[in-house]
Amino acid sequence: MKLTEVPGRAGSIVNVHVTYREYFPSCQQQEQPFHSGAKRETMSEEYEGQQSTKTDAQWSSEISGREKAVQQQTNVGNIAGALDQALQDPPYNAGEAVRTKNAALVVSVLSAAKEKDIDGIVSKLSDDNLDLLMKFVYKGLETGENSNILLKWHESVFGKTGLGSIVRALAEKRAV
Amino acid sequence: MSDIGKFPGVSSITTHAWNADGTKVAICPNNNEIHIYKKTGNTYALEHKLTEHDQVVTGIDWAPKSNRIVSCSQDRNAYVWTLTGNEWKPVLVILRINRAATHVKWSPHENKFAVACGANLVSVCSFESDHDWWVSKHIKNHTSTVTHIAWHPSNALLATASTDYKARIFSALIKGVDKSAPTVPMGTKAPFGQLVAEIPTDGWVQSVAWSPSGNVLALTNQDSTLHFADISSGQVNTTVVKHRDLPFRDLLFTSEAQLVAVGHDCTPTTFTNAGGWKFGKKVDAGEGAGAQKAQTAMNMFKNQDSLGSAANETKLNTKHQNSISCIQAFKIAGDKVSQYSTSGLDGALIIWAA
Repeated sequence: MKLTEVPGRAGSIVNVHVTYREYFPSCQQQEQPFHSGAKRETMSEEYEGQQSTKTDAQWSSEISGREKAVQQQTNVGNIAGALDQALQDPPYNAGEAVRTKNAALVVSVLSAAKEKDIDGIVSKLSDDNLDLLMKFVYKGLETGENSNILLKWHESVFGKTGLGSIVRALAEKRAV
Repeated sequence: MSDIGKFPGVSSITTHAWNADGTKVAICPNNNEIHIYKKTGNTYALEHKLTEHDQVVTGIDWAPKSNRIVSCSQDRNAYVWTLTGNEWKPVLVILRINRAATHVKWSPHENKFAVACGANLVSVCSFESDHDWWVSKHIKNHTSTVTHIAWHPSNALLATASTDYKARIFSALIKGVDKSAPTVPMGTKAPFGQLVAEIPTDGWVQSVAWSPSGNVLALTNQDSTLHFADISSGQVNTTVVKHRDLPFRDLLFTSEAQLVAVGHDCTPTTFTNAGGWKFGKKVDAGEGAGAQKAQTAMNMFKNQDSLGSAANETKLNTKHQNSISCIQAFKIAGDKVSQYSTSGLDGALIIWAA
């Protein structure tokens, strides 16, 4: 707020508080926002990444199918195999319900693992799957359950990929 | 081997630029001024203060052949400074933008310069000698802030980095200013502002840089990846390098097969192309100011008691104590950069050997 002199009544000069917008009139134009508002949960208008061809219903049934396959693997104790099944083709731009269901599936696999096996499984994952796993770890930590085992996975993946995978889990537009 | 340059009263450097022979440097100390220092050995003496801008100066570029400085600022203006006698005289350039300017670069032939700005466009300016005035033309086509620009060595193509998750290559040929259309790998003879190539990514593109030959465009992303787009074949072939570190802010090719990236890790990091782009090494291995020195037992327990950790670490191990935001070539030998300089938020300007 700045004091300016404006003509007052009867020819006198009056000091008046002028608001910021009146002092800098050019700032009043708001044709475009500085950043087109990007929503974190789903795809924003700016991001034209891969568009999935599946509908939410199709995703839902596919994930149910995966659940069965994953269950078979975990029953046998093959966590690495179960993880491969669970991590494939993530529903990147599906609806909230679908993504929660998928995340629950992945977290169930992660929590079924034994601590001493984690490093072994992580060392065999590809770079892309490591980044994907980190994203699911963060998604799982959001719920507050299983945090003990999830943090063990976090530590193991971090040791292999460094800060990069954490930055990618936070910054990448494709929300898992 | 590096010299740490410190400037009295400067706590943070937004951007810097060297003159042709590396004896003078223009910096913006994170305010609306441009300071020009003369370098003698490892000391810097203040020569000029250029105070025409009203807001933070976000970009400075010093043209080596014509010895002109162009600066752009958050006050939506750019000035071209010419040295007359012992004074730098500014000429205002009407960019016609209604948001802050973020970056400015002279073209290789120094007959035009491009300004990236927050109004989702790039303003390319050239000098009209009839009216003795700088005229600007806009390249639109972005849907968010343009953070960085890089001129192709041919003077004809312009690469832009934007926060709309894409890097783009445009043609920047201006009729009347560019006499003939040079041969380029893609987009030969395309009219001004035509989109030649688009490279989609998954995060904000922070910076772009061309290799010395102009065949490879490197871009650095806020999601800790580096993309290398090879356009030599006429098509865009992109390789993505996911790296272990915090995101990078700026890039410089020191040779055709080596790239130096700087950013929030406070150390320059090299990437080399030996049959594919890979992480090279961290130039500053961390034996600098804050590195562990021999502690007395008493100090150790004292720290444990008051601070909760045995070592009193208030300084980073690297020479830069804060993020590096700008990297410039300092000494060029042929098409290789033999020395480069980095400046950052800690107010230090350090010169490294490539």
